[in-house]
Amino acid sequence: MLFAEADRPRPGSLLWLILHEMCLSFRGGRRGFARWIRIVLLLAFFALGVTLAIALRGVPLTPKPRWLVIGNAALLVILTFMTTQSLMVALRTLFEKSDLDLLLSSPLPEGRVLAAKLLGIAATAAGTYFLLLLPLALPVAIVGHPRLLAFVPVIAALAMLAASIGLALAILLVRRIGARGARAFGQIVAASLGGAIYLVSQLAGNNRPGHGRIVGMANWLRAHGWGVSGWSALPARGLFGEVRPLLLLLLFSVILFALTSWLMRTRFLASFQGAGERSGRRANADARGPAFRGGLMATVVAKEMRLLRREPEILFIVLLRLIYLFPLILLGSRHGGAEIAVPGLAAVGVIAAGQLCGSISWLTISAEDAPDLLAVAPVDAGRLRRMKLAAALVMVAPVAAIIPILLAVRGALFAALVAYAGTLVAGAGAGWIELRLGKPAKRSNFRRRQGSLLTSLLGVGLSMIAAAATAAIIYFI
Amino acid sequence: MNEPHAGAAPFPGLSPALELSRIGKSFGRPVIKDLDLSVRPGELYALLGPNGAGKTTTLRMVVGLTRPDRGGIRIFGIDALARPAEAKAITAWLPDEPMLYDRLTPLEYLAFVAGLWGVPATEAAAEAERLLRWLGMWDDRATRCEGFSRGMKQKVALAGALIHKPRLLVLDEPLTGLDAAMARSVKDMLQEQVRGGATVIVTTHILEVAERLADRIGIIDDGRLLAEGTLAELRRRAGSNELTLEELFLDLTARADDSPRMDDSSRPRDALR
Repeated sequence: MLFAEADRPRPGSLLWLILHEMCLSFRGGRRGFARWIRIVLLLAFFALGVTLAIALRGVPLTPKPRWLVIGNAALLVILTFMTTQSLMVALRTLFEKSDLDLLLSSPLPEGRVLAAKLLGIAATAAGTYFLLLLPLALPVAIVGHPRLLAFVPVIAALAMLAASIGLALAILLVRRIGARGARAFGQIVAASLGGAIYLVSQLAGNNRPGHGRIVGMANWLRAHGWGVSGWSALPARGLFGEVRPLLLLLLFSVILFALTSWLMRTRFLASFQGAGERSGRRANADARGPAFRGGLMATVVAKEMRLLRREPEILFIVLLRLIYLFPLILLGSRHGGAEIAVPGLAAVGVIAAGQLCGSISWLTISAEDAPDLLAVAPVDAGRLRRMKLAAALVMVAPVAAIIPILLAVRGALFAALVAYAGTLVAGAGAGWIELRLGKPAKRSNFRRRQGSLLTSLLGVGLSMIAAAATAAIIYFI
Repeated sequence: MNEPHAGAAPFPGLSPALELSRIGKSFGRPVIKDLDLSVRPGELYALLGPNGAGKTTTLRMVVGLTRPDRGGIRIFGIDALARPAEAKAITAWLPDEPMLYDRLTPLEYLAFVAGLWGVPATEAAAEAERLLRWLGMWDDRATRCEGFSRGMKQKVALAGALIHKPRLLVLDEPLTGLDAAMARSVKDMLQEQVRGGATVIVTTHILEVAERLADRIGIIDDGRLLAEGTLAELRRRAGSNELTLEELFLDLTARADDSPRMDDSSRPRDALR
């Protein structure tokens, strides 16, 4: 029964509200398959944890500098991810279509409602990582390393820190750039975090060839004296079960958390009750340039460009998808002479153009927000789609031209021409694949998955072939 | 048409169900300008006004979501600004966009709302079943709200507003997006609430609803109350017994507008601002 259960917290109490927040956060949108994947992953984690526990049974885990650095780095990464997660949850639950209207129109004290929101943000962050780490760390802790159980309070402390930072950031960002802008910022940070960590590991690992990435990074941090002693070592020492660092860490997070709660009660509530309805508060985006244009082509291109310009987060994610090309450029410029560098650079340019065109043409052709509007318009559907492809190509062209121009400036004129041709083939090809095989989709699905697996694979394949051909022509001729 | 109470308080001696005194609010520019409003216990009061007149802002101030810059709000004698929890405990708020959780089922949602308002569990469970059956949503009680049509969502939100048996029911455009049958049942529900002793305040664009259901009608424009009374009183003020509410409404709001307009008084105000 939903309404009366003796073991549940009293309805309307703080704990009851927090449980409600957590229940909403963890109740996934999809059921069935996704849930099974989650269960299998958890079991795999647990198996890994047990294996680790057996392997580490006799090994004394003492806070040696190297372990401290690794522990600290791991905690820092977790804190960063937790903070972005908290920022997004804070934005969603406080500033977007939220239940605050319902909660604040109820007779519960406003302070309790807001405290539950903040604690809910922290509990969601903590819950995510407990779910990930418990099956891994619990077996190790139980089999011979009980001090490692300290990770539970450490994660709780990190979650409080993350919730505080995330919430403060959310309030600050919304005040400066509005709720929409703040969400775009959050998405960009979330998307770039993975990329940033990848890049840092690449740079750190590249210093000494032969070392693994993690070890290289740890050595780099140790060499710079970070996380071995003093304040910077506190979190890791806490993680290894040292009592005083652990208490200090907890104390610090509790104070910061209390401070943010106070800030939220005063500032946030005042601004919430001072504002009117929060929907549609965005001012006219821009009044520049004529909105009415002659000619269908100009209209289509203007519309697609305008939409893309208003979604900087999408554009950023598009560029971020190219981040894996960065080490290739690094590799080409460091280890090879000019004979490898030029074809390598050309190949990178071709792949980038293909990928960019694939993404942008998916946005313009398949991710149409008002397909029915276009369908009832007195314009041939095929013609419209070709125009949308043209709009995508027009938008990508300036970016795709960078590497051929770079090569031309360096004096490799022939290479520049070949690279240009390759870029054209890859770009137009990717767009053509989208035109032929693209399926209508929602624009908001962009982050999760772009188009079907088939078009993605075909696009990547075509880019690779074009890149290889370009590199080969430049290298051999 | 509902026979109006002809200005007489149904429960003489009781404090008004809602009393707004010289309420003011600005968002950059003044939106509500020294608004006075009094709603009697047990009446159905319709608040009419063109787009952007300040209807929703007024109601959000009544239910405690927006704080007025000045003035006072009393709900059944309770100072809603000084003792918000007591005022909210007897008030329900149903905005035009239902306050729902996509990921909760109707029954879970009602349990949550009942918890917020402190309704005893057994009582809430029985009332939830009664409401969901009455609204024809009992078979969908265990389905998440995410796939519901607008009308179904509105029904769930309506059940949420009624589960704690409010004395004052505040509804903002409750008929938006509803089909004829559903609109009819909402109208029936409003009348049933009033018969049961509750007070109902409703904003609507559909003048026919106000004409048929409301005991008294208030017309606001530009943050001010232009006229108030039963339909008969409003007609008397306009000096014609033949006028429909639509004609009265257009006449009053056009007169209040600074710039004289000849024949475009039906144009939405937002387009003019």
